[in-house]
Amino acid sequence: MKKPFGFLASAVIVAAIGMTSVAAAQLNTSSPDPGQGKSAVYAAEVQRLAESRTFVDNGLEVQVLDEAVKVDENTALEAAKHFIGSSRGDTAKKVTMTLARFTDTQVEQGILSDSNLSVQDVPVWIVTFHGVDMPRNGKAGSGKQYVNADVHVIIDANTGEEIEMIAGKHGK
Amino acid sequence: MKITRCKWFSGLATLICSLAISTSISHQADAATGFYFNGGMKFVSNKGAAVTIETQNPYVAKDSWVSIWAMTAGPGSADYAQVGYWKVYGWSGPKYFYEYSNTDDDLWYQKTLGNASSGSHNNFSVGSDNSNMYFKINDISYGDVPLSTLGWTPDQIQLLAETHDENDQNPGSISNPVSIGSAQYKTTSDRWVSVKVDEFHDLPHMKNNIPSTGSSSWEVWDSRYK
Repeated sequence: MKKPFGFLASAVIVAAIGMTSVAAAQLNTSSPDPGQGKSAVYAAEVQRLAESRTFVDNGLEVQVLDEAVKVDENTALEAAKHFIGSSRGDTAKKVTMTLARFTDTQVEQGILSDSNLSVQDVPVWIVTFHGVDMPRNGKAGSGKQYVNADVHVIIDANTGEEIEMIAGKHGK
Repeated sequence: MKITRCKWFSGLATLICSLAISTSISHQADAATGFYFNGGMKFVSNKGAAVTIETQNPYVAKDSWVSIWAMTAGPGSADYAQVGYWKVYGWSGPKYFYEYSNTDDDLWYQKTLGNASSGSHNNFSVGSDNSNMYFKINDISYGDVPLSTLGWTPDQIQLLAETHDENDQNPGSISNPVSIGSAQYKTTSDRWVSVKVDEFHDLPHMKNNIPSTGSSSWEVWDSRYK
């Protein structure tokens, strides 16, 4: 019998960030102090992202966030699954999440066109879907329709709005 | 007798209905997938491409995606840099994006930005100075990449709508086509100049009104949509 995605995603998140099942049960709440263990896990994930080729190449800066947010982990995960599209989130080899303070230094005016969403110093959830076949917009005459890559979805941690999604790879 | 005839007729109707539904479902399931393009392109040495595109909200088939964009590209099959808007199955409307790649298969990035408002007309440009390639919407830069990272030299521009499933809607309809205009490319001496692109389309329902002499403004639409 196929298990519902929510269960699998929770299990994967727990496995990925090394939390206990008790901590996993607390995913629905987001407190100013997420707990020392969880804070350490988030800090490690923020550092991993900050040093990743994708974030460095694309001018994405992240810092540890130490303030309360209004959107909980499960809500952020649902928003991220919607952003990545189709049922692509279900196919990820692993899902990791962290709270962070986020800036996209390459957006010239710090605000996204039309949606007017800020991308400077924003408290966000970063949901990473590892090893996903992402659709590519090609060039006439090109070949592969999908690229297997990690996909980072940036969700506003106070409004739940979808801010950015960055997918990619650099290096064989 | 009447009852028997009625049952027979009802059975036949059910069978026909079932066959019709099954054929329809099978047609949906069997729709071919791939890369399908519609619009204009030009082989020319360049340092960038730009075009103004009206935003519309096309129908996207299950698990597919639709986009429309400005691109500068190199000779390799995946040497490209593009900016425009796209819609993935499951989204209520399109979002802005840019994407770049090389054919060595060691570089591919795609960044999706905020929602693109239907009915708006936006200028998308992807062009380089001597060090970086920039991705701009209405002259505001949303991203850049060093030319040394890209590793290819542009020899063509493509200004195309793109679908991936025959059931996807090429953006635009007969009565409300997507208007595209002010097509330009950046010369190798750093001047933006108007360009007449050559017509290109992959599927019979993908329509455009680019004449055989080329054009710098045109419309695209899907002839299956009134």
